[in-house]
Amino acid sequence: MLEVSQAWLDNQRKTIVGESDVIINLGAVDPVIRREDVSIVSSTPEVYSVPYNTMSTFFSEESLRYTTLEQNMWVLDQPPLAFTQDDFPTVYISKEISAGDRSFSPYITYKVNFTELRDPSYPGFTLVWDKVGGTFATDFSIRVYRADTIVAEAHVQNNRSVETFVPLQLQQYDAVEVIIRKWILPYRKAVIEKIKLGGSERFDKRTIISLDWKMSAEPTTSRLPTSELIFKVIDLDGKFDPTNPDGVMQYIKERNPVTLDVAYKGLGSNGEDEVHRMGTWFLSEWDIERSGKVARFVARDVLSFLEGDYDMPHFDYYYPPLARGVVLDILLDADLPPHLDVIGTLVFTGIPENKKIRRPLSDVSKLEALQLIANLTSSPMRVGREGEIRFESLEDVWATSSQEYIIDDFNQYSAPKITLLPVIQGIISKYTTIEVDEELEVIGSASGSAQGVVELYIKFDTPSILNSVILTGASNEEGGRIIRSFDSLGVKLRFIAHGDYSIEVKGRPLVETEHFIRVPLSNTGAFQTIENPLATTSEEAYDLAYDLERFIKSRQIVDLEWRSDPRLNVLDKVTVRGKYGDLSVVMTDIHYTYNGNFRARGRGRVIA
Amino acid sequence: MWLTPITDRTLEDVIYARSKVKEWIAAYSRGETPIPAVTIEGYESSWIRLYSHLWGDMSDTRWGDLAPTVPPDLKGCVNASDLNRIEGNLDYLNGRIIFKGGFPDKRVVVKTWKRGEVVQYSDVRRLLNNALYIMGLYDLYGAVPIHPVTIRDYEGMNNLEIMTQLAKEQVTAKWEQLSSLSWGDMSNTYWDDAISQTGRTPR
Repeated sequence: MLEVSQAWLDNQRKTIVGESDVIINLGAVDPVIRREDVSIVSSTPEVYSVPYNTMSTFFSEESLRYTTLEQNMWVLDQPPLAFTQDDFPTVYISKEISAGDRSFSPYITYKVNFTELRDPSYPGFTLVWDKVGGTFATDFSIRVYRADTIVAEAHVQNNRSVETFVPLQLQQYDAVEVIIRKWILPYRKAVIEKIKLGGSERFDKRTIISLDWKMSAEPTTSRLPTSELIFKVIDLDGKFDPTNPDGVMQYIKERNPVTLDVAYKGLGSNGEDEVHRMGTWFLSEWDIERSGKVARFVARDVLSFLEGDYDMPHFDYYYPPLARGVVLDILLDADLPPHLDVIGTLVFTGIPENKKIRRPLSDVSKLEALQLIANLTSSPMRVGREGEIRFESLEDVWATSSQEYIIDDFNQYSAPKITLLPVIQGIISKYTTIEVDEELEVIGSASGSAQGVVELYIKFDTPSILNSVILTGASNEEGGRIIRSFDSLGVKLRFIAHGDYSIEVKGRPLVETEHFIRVPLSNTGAFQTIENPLATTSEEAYDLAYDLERFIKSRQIVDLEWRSDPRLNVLDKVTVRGKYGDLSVVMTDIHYTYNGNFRARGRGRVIA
Repeated sequence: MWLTPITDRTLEDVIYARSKVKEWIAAYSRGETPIPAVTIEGYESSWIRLYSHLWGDMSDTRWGDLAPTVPPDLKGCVNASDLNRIEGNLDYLNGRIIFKGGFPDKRVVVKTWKRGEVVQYSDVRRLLNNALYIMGLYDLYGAVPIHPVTIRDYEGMNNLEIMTQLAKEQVTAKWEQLSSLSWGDMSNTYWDDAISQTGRTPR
C-alpha cells in the first residue's frame, strides 16, 4: 500500500473528501543519455553532482560540502543539504551568485556537447532547474548547435516554473547551450538539475474527460499481472489529431512514458498539496474519437514489453542457475523501454538468494517465464508505482494488516457481492524429477557446406549432458577450440570448414519423470491440479499446493464498489466490514475511475 | 569587533523563513518586488538611512524608496552575516581572555565568509571546535544549555551564540571593575594596565 500522511488518511474518512487533482504526464523525450555520450562546457561550476537532493549524515568526510551561503538557503529546521562530487555531472551549480537585482554578470553558460548527432524528432527541450530549492531562471536563452553553428535559438523571459519546456523546431544537432541571465531570487546560484531532450504534455482534471486505471495480480500467480491506464482528453484545437501537421502527435510515439500523479489540496503542514506518484506506464495506442474533439490514450505497464519468447535460455544440470540470475537474464534479453531503468529499479527481495532453477525453461514467453519463477519462489510479481517490477514475498502479503484500509458502509456504494465457489476435495500438485540417462546417444547433429570460419549453435533434441562433438570435413582454428560454450540445452561451435562438413553431437539425455502429491482439503468435490514445470522436488510441489490452499480455502470471492483512496494496490489486504463481521480480503483486481474523486470497482479473495 | 549575538531563534522564525522565501519567489514571478520582511535589522537599517537624509532631501520621497530593495537575511536561516558574527565574536573572546588572566588559544582559527560561498563540513567542525576551545577558556562547561556540537537546527545555533554571550558577560564584568578606578588613575594608562590595576594580573 502506498505510504501517505496522516492528513491524507484523515481526509479520506471525511464525508466530503477534500479537493483533489490528477496530473498525467505524457513524455516525448529522448531516452536517458549515457555518460559517455556527453561532455559539458560551462561557466565555472561550484558543484557537478548527482545527489543534489540527497541528505547526508552530519558526521562524514571532511571534504563533504555542508551547504552554501546563498541568501536564506540554509534554513534552520534540519541539517542542510550536503553535496558530494559524484562522477556524472547531471546537476550544474554555478560558482557565482546572482546580484541584488537577480541578474548574472557575466551570464552563466552551460553547454552540453554530444558525441553523436541527436535525433531532431523531439519537440524542443525541457529544463529542470532547482527543484529541491524551488528556484529557477526567469530570463534565459537556449542555443542549439551543429558543428559550432547555431541551428536553432529561443529566448525566454519571465519564466515562472522550475521545469520549463522550450519548444523548438529542430534539425540534427550536436550541442545545446543554456545562457542564464536572471534568477528568481537575488544572491542565489544558478542550478540546472537536468536537460531533457524533448518535452511532455501535461493533463490535469481541467483537460481530462475520463480516467480508467485497471490493475490485476494474483498471489498465486495463476494469472499474468496487468496494469493499464486509459484516459481521454479534450482536444478542441486538434492538437492530438494525427493528421494535423502542426499537432503534437508527430512527437508522440509508442513507448513514451506516461505517469499519473494524484494531489490532494492543502494537506501539507504548510498548506501545500500532498502529491503521490500513482503509476508509470508506456504509451501503447491512441485514437481520436469521431467528434474530433476528444483524444483517447492507452498506456500499459512495463510487463507488456515481455511478451516475446524467451528464446535464449541457459540451463546447466550440474550447476543450475540462480532464480535471481534467470530473472535478470530475461529482463536483459527483453527490449525494454530505455526511459526506465528496469534492472536498476528491480525489487526481488521475495526470491530467496540461493534458490536455483533446476529445470530448463523453454517454449514460454519472457513474461510467462518470470511468472513461473514468481510462482515457484512464492513471490508474486507486480509492477510498482514508479514502474518498477517487484517480486515480494507472499508471506508479506499474508502478514500485512488488513486494518489499514477499511471498506464499510461509510465508503461503499453497494453491499459487497460474495460468491461461494464449489467445494474441492484437495489439490494435486505435479512436479518433475530429472536424472541423467546411462546411455550415450546422439543428441544433436548438423551438416552444411562452407569454406572458412563457421560459427554454429546446435540445440539438443532434448536437454542433455554433452559428451563429445564429432566433426568431419572441418578443422579447428589455430589455437582455438571447436566447442566455444555449452550448457544442457545446446552447444556453440566455431571451426574452419573445407567444403562439405557434418557434425554429430553425443551426450546423455536428461530423463524426466512426472510425480505428484495430494493435499486433501475435504471429503467431497473434485481435485484441483496445479503444475509448475520448474518444480522438481516434492517440497516445491507441497509449497505450491499450500500457497494455493491458503488462497482458496475460504472459497469466497468478493466484488466491491466503493469511494476509494488510490493508495490501494493489488495484493494489498483490506477489511470489508459487513453486517455479520469483518472479512479480510486480498485484492486481486482494482479498477479506479476518476471524476473529481476516485471511485473503484474491485475483486478479492477472502482469506480465512 | 563584538556584535550582539542572536540567541532567541524560534521554530516560528524557521517556519516564517520558509514561507517568506516562497512568498518572494511568488512575488518575483508576478513581476513584483517583494515587500521586505519585517525584521528589526531591516527596520533599523532603513531608519539609519533616514537619519542621513536632510528633510529637504526627503520631500517627495516615499518610504518604499528608502526601504531595502533586496529581501533581507532572515532570522530562521544561516547567512554569511551570521557566520561572520559568530566567527568574529569567537575571535574577540579568544583575544579578550587575557582580561581574565588567561592566554588566547592558538587553535582558534577564524574565517570571513562571503555570500554564496560553500561551507565545507570541515568548516563547520572548525567553527564548533573554536566554540569548544572558547568554552574551555571561559570555563563554561555546564553553563551552556547544550554544548554546541552540531548545527542541525535553530536550537543548535542559539546554543552556539548563547555560549558566546555568556563568555562576553565575563569580559563585561571586567569592564565594570573599571568603575573602581578614578579618572586620575586611568590617565596615560594603557587599557591592559588599567585592568591589571584592578588587582587581577594575567597568569
